[in-house]
Amino acid sequence: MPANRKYLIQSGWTRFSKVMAAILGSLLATYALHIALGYLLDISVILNTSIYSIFIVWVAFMMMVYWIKKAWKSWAILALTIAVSSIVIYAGKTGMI
Amino acid sequence: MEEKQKNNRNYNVFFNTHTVSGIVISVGLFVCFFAGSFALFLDNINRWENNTIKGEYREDIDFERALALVKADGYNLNDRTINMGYREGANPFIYVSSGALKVEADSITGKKYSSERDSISKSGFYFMIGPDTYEVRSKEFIRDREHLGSYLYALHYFEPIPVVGIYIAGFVALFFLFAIITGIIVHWQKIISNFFTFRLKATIKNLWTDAHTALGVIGIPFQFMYAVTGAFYGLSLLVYLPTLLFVFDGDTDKMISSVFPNIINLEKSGEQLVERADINKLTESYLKELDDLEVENVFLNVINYNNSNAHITFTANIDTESHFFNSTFSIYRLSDGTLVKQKPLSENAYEGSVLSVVRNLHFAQYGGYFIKGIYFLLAMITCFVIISGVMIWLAAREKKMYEHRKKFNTYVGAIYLGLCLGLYLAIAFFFCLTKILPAEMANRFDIMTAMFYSFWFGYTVYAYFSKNYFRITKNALIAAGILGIIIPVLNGIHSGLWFWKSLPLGYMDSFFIDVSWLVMGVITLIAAYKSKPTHKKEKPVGKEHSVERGQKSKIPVMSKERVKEPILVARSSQGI
Repeated sequence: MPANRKYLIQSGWTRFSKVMAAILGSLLATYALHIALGYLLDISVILNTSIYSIFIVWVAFMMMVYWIKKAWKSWAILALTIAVSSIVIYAGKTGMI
Repeated sequence: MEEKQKNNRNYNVFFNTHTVSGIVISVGLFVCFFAGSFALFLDNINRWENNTIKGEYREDIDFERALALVKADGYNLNDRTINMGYREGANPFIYVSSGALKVEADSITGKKYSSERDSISKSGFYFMIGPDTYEVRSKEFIRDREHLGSYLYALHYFEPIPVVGIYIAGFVALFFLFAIITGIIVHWQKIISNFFTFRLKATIKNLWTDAHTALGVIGIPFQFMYAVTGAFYGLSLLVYLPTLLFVFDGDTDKMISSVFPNIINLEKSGEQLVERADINKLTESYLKELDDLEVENVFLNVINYNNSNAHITFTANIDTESHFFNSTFSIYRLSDGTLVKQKPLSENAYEGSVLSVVRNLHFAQYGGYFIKGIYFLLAMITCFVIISGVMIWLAAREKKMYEHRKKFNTYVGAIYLGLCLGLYLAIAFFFCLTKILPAEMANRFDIMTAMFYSFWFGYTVYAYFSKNYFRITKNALIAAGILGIIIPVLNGIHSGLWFWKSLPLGYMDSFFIDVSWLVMGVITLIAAYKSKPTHKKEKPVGKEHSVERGQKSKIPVMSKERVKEPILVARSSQGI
């Protein structure tokens, strides 16, 4: 009982885009989220937590990418996560928080 | 209607990702779990192989003498961070190690490192020193992999594949995490009803599906733990690298002290340490404090050596069976030997504990043989879940619409079974080899590993030509069962440590491995002789076989009671 084809993505490009979003985009978003949380909370607590949470959050983002139908929407969410985290990281680096 | 459409879409999408990620990692994951389940008993297997008894931690080590040996060799010890300790094993040794100095000039004498000779005096080293005679065995680290247990351990994270092996293992673990979570999502709605379902007499695909889902659900917590911790061990670089670069600006020392609280970080004072406490005496008094605990190992870490603010950290690991959090440390100032910081055994801050929890869980270090036995069983169940997953994949493709790829699919299945079952056979063969080949043989271990791989590969080739799944499985089980029973006999002939003699003589490991193989061999043989190729082929494609969700199977479901025994047989027929 292979999965019903009519629900799966047909286009090669969309599929490639999803794989990239699932592996690379999700990893970057996970990193950004962790480092931003490190600045907001306590970096050594977050660093120790990341020993396990990096992989759990990474996989959660992967699932999100496949759950959302449109590839660009998942890219947008990942990009938003990275952007917001980057602002926090920048603020943290320059000593604003 | 739209809601249903959406649910169907999600179901099929996750079903597909589960299948794809599962199939891609299957062989690698099988090797991880199968070799890993033997690697749980790494030390036992090594001691079984060498006919030795577990050694105790030696308290009489002269670290000052070991340090003098390093200094005599031309290394400048000033400013260094030096690690020292004693490694128990087949060839026990004292180690003294340090990374290369990252400074421009000696902070005490002010002399700049410039010439060629100076570059040696500031380079890193790893001295391996004999614990009785204090002879220098090696000036760099030689990984002692030439033992059966250690080799199986290395195999379980693909170390034999140069450089990238461990990263492959890490990614296999990561996609395993993805596969188990998607698997649970796909299975969610029927998770309870299917748990009590085992359609033994229905089609072969139903049998595989029921085994896959029920055993998969049983193993979920275990598998989740291994997926996360395994991914960490494989990809720890990926965990630490971004924080190191973005938060600590590449300063490793700063980051290390926030993961390992027993490592402190102090600026070098630049002044000579005139008089210092004797490291051996400090070790002795430290060990005296731990008198009522069973010390497994002690690690020494000296920072800013020869600086007036030099410190020494003693980290002790206590036996894990009585303490889950088994690490304690004390930091002393080296100039006068006063205690600066201490972590008692019972105080465990979050920082530093995470890593020890991960280690304890992954290596099953917290409950002795009982926990390791359960781990072994769960690992075998996981191996079975992996195999049955591939079998479902294959059985689902035994339909008319896949006719054009039938040949290819058959070969894939045969090679897959050959690799998986051949590994069991090859490991049993490896155990036999260690007791057959004469000890004085040149390149003994290389020959053994070459024979191990040839045997494994040979069985896969046989499987490729046989193409009969039933025969491939049954023959591997018969052969592995026979080899398993022969192993304790060979050990008895080779070392005289027959398993009825080894226990009274105190050779616990020898006894344990012999008896385990005997039991495993017998169970494997029983499973092999009980297995019969009685399953019907999949019916031709019909409406009821499509994957619309919520559809009920038309095949009658057997009650839980009646199928109790066949589950065991089906499970054990794949490798316990």
